[in-house]
Amino acid sequence: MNFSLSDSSNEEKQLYRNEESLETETSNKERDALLIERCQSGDYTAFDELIIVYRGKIYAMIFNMIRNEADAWDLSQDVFIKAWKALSKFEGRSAFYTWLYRITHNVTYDWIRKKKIGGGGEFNDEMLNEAEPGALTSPKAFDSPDQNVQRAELRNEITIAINSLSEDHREVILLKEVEGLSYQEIAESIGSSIGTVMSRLYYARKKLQETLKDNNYD
Amino acid sequence: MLGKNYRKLLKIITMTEKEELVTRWIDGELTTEQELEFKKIEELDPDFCASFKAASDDVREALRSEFNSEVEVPHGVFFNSQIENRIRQSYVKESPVTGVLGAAIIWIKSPFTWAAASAFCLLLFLSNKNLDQGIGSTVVSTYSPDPSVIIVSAGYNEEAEATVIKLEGLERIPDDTDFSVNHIVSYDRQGPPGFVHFYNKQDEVVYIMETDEYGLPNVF
Repeated sequence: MNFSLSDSSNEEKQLYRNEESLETETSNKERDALLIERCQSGDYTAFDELIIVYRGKIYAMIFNMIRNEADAWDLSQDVFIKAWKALSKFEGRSAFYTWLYRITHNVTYDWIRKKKIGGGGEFNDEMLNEAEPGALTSPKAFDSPDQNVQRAELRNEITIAINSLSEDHREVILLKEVEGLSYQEIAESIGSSIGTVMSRLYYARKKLQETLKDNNYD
Repeated sequence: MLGKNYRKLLKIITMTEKEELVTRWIDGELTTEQELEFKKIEELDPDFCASFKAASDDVREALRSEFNSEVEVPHGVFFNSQIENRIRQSYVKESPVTGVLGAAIIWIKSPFTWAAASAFCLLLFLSNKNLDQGIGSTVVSTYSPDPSVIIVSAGYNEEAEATVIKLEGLERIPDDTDFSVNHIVSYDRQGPPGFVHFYNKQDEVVYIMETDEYGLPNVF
């Protein structure tokens, strides 16, 4: 694999992407602030708009954790209902979506505790039976059937590997690698310190790297 | 040394300071001070940084190929309506039903909302027969969500050119109550079945009524 650790052209592109995403982030924050203000003054239609903006992310996050569509659908509703009831206490010190992820974390963990599905490093057959590996993703187009089979097997391995992590590690690696949250945002979402986030992230990556290494993925 | 062996014995995966810096570098989370430290590591051991980054990139790519950051919720419109319904139901369970409703109910802002609820329940039962209640209207049935509120009379009032409903049992309305905020000037119907949102002149929601598949109000 060839790449340069200090490629200035890549750094420039990265800077541009960061600026672009910063602009989007700023406008999203402004939009959220306006909608929240309307919600807090009793305008439910504003909350309806917020649901539309964030329901896809919340649903995806919960589904990625529990791998069950029906339960993810129900729990996503629970998240927004709790968010509505707590909205008067939202002071805007963190981003709205971080605050929403915090509620998502609590709702998901409560559900997991009740279901008594635990990772803890041990593989849980029940979770695999409920899992639908690749159900929400479109199969990638490859050149040969052999590659398709290989990719399908790898997706299965990744799913098994991630499901073998505890929910703490699974959540952090998903928030980082899939949702793209920063350390600070993850810490706020899960109610932990940045140090805890980093250590869980490190552990999860190591475990997954071992899986990929075993499958010679590159 | 003893610490390192102990960790190996317990097979605990822990991060060294070097790995922490490289991890932060991969995630774009280096502080200004840490950047300087990282540069030193990069110069001393570029292969370590490269292999670490490559392995992390592989993990990221694999995860993103399998997991989505956003997924369209199945039956999105129904999803939203269910949330609204459940919120409303939860307030009905939590708040005692009286002539003046608790501040927690966002769309019930004054005692007149119950009057409006009663009125709409009545209106939807009206027919065009001429009876003693008034010209062009007949009260076939009445329903009040609050049993302590009694519908004394209902009928068409020519002077007002409207149906007037007299109620008993509502709590006294403060003299400084601003009724204009509850004056409905427009509405937005979703469905049926669905909801009808009623707005005042400030475009604020005054009342929300749920309707069944025939467009009639759902009473509870």
